[in-house]
Amino acid sequence: MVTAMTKLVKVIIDDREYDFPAGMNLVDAAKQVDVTIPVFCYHPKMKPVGMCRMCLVEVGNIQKDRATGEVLLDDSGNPQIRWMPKLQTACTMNVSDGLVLRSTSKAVDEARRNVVEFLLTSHPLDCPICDKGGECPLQNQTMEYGPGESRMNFEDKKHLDKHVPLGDLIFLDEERCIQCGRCVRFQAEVAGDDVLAFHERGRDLQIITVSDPGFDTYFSGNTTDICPVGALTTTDFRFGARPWEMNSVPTLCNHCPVGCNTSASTRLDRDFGGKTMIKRIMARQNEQVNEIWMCDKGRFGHHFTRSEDRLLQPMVRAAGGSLSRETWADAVAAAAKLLGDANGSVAVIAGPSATNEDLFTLKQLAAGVGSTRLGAWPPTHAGADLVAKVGVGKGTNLSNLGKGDAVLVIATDLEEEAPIWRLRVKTAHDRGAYVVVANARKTRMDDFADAVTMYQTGHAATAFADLRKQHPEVAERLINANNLVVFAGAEGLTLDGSRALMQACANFLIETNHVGRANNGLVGVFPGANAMGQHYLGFSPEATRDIIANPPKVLILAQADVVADDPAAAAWLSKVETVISLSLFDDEATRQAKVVLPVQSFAERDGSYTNGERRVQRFYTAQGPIGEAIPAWQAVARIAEKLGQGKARLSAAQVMNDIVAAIPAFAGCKYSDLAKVEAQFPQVGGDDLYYGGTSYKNTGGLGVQIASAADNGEAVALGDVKADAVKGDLIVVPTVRLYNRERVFQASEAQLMAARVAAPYVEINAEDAARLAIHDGDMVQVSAGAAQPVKVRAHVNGAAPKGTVLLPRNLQQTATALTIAAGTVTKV
Amino acid sequence: MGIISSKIGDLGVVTTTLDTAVNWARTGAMWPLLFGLACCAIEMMSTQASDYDLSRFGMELNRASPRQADLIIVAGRVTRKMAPVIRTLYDQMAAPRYVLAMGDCASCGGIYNNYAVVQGVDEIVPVDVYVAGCPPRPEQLIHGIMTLHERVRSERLKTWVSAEGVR
Amino acid sequence: MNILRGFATTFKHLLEEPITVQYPEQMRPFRERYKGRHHLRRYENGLEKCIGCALCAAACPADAIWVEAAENTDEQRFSPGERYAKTYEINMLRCIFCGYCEDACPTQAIQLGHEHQLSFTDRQDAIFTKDMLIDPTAIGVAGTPQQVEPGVYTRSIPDMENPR
Repeated sequence: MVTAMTKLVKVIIDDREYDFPAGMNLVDAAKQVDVTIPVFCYHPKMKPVGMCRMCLVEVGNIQKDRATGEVLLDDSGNPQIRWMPKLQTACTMNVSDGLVLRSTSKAVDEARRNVVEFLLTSHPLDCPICDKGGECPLQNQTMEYGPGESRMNFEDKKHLDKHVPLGDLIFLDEERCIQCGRCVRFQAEVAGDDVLAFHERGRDLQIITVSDPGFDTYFSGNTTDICPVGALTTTDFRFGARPWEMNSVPTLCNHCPVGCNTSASTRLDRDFGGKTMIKRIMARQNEQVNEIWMCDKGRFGHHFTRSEDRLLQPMVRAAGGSLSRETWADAVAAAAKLLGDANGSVAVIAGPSATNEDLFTLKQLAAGVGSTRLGAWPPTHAGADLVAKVGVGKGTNLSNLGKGDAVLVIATDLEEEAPIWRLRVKTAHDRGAYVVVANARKTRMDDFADAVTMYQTGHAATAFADLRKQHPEVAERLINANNLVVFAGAEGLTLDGSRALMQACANFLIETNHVGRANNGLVGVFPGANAMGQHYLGFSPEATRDIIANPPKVLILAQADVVADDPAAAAWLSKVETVISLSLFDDEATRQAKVVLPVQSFAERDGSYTNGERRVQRFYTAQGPIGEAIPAWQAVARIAEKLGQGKARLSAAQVMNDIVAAIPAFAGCKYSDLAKVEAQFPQVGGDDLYYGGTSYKNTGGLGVQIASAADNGEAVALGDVKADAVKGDLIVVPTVRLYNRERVFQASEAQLMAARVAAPYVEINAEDAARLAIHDGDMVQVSAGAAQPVKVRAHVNGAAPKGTVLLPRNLQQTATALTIAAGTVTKV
Repeated sequence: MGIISSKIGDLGVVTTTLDTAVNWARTGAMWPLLFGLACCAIEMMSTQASDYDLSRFGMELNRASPRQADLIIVAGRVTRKMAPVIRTLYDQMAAPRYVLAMGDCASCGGIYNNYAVVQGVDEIVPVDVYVAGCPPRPEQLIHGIMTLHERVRSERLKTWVSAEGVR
Repeated sequence: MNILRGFATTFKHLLEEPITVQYPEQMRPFRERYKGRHHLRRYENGLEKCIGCALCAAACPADAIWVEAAENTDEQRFSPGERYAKTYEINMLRCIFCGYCEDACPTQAIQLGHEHQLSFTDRQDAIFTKDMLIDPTAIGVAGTPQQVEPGVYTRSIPDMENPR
């Protein structure tokens, strides 16, 4: 990173003089001043290896007098340059004072021509059927630098396997591979999942996977992006369309709080009724959010938008009791009548995929009928208000964390809940940041931690409060860190326990003065894409708890799949007189509703989300509409209009204008502001694919980060930590798996990711298992609290601490425990 | 239609003969409108010249007045500016009147996929026959006219009067 | 005198054969390189030459071609190599018969023939689907999809030559 402190050095590139910060890579430096040094193996996000030899350039040094330091001049008065006798690989050199670089010369051109010729000796003439054809760095650079014809004998081409599945999601074409190692290095260096390797050597070199199941990582899709040839292709997109046929639409991932910026490549498709369809999703560069990476859930989890379970028409329950199709006007009128007659006994529960616009219109509708009961779903994570106070400072970029900085990850399994944060914390760790992981159990994040502290299940807050006593050396490092970011989740905690933990984290940050600055503060690892938006727009999990305890007359469920999440939902839902469901899917709660309004998914509409770092980001319409579904905010606004609350807005942008006017936090978040883009480093956005591998161009905007209260200089007070704990012999802790059977990820078993979703299981400690006579692989019945018992397979694999069983949520159609509870496990 | 069919009744033999006679007359002297728009018009001219000689089909008379024409061959791309002219000409033609879209541009805009060109003349007038080609050879145009004749021959008395009026 | 010369010319032509081609009955021979309606060719063993690469669609100046590709397996093989055209459609009313598709085709699968009788009474009829475009198989040769021996048809472009 360039700061005021960085020393600048003078470098001459192609006879022009430039200043660069010392230590910058030569390829990066040339790229900054629009001089192309072609590369295959070098990638700006990874360490150079100098394997492909494509970046050979002429390099020299300006000669200086050793004694005086004066620049020596030749006869004609120009500085003397001592050229290195041979060409040098630019990617393994850094800029230094007096360095002279020539990116084009006869020798350089010839070197490049020969490199390309050798790379092509066994490269198949596959371009017509290759998925990379049209956006392929090798293709482009062969045209630009390669020889017109080859001197090699075509009979001698090596023929290798063209269809090697590395895993369920990625195929390898061994012939096309040019052995640059970008994929192997990405997995090892960036993702930290070292599952790819080179096998054999020389001309026999191949990429293989060394994990079982193959390519076992959540980041495999990224390797297809950075692959400079078409060797790695995704199962999802294989032969789906040609790159030039598709439009790239900026959109957002709606699966987790990271809020990865993505682009949807869309094309008309017969399989989707001739409408515009998302053919693939790729990462879009936003260095402050997801850099240029994204996880496989986001990349391949777009099929739910075209699920057969999608609701197509508005429905109203007739007097007889069955739902019947209605026009929008009638359905809206029915909903308005129900709300109007409710006498103010109205509540809203909004799911985590509801956008800011949806939430705002819901809030206004509720206010219009005299209600302020706005619940956030799922009611598991409290403390969003504390994040709003002491959240990470404006301008935070996890990529800036390094030596002298610290990261604390507590009560969350980042790998499963927010994979890109896990990846970015891991890279911060590699840069020297001190990473502490605190949890009641082992998590994947432990592999990338400097210190791991375990606490008793359910006691995160007290454990954290006692950190200074229990682990003084760890606490010391955190307190004295230049910058400290705390990722706090709610795993193994009740809602009150979650609040206590967040309060403890906030207290710690305030006491140690790690608030109100960039790269310092609290991040809540909340479920879903818009939990912070829920907070800013007045929705809270505590309100949900109140709604469950005191059922209203009319309950609006907005994209909240309550029955699939909460085993108690059927019971408390039956106490609600009327349910109005705004849903994507034909889910359980919808089947009990009086009025069913089909709404659009993120793919079909405009909208905005507020991510976990409080960055408001917008997404654009990518896919054609499904049935008569409309955006949720529109449906709500129509009901409000029917109730005489004012005219419905015409566009999401107008709704956002209303939000900006009504809610101070959203100041400066108009759509035009959210759409602003500025130059980012590295510049991987252009058509010059050689550098990043694919185009990560961001045309949709970088978003605007909401300032925390501490950023604004408001006093942030310490709060009381009221810890509670669940007691029992065995405590059932619901955990989160990234790949699960939630409707918003995978509506049917037949889909791509099905094989990667684990069968329902429960993890039990060996001692507990021995006591209960349970062996690894047995079917067991787990009951937790008042919830219906579920039958799952027991895993005795050392993952669960003693006295705790880990029961992942959403792995089966029936709901399992939503929050921690005492329970029993019996063998069946 | 109701009146005519009720009056005609079950005069099957008579109407069949009448159909044939009328359709023979219509196909035998289908005078085209003297009207060309672009490159296709050159091929249309050559169709009428001695090599292909449209007069073999009783079409030797290109009428410069729409009132005397039966067929309008839209030969060439129809610009937005030309569209109202074509509609006016079509409206001025006496029923029964026929439209033949000659070539890609008249049929669907062809390569002129832009704001200035009507994407198919069927946006403004009902088209009976579309002829592919860019431009179509005289043979193709004659084939199109044959297709139109085929269509006219299959017309029945009942279809002369439709809900929209006389066609 | 001149008037006689003029009449002589007229009389001379009166005795000549008429040059009019009696088109529907009589056909004028087409030039070898005349570009008419398209054909999708097959290999001798019945496999389709088209590999669904959509380069024809990319080359088409009129956007007349629509290709959707899918993946071959040895149990269900349509064409050599991994990819075949699941959907292949040409809108004859958009096509300008320029032959760019023929030029772009890496396997010489699409070729323009001499059939020219392309008049339609409905625009929908002008869309020629893959079934209409593809050549029938020779007598005794299986059509597609075929079940083939594994590992034989691995190349999409069978004759790999130096692209000189």
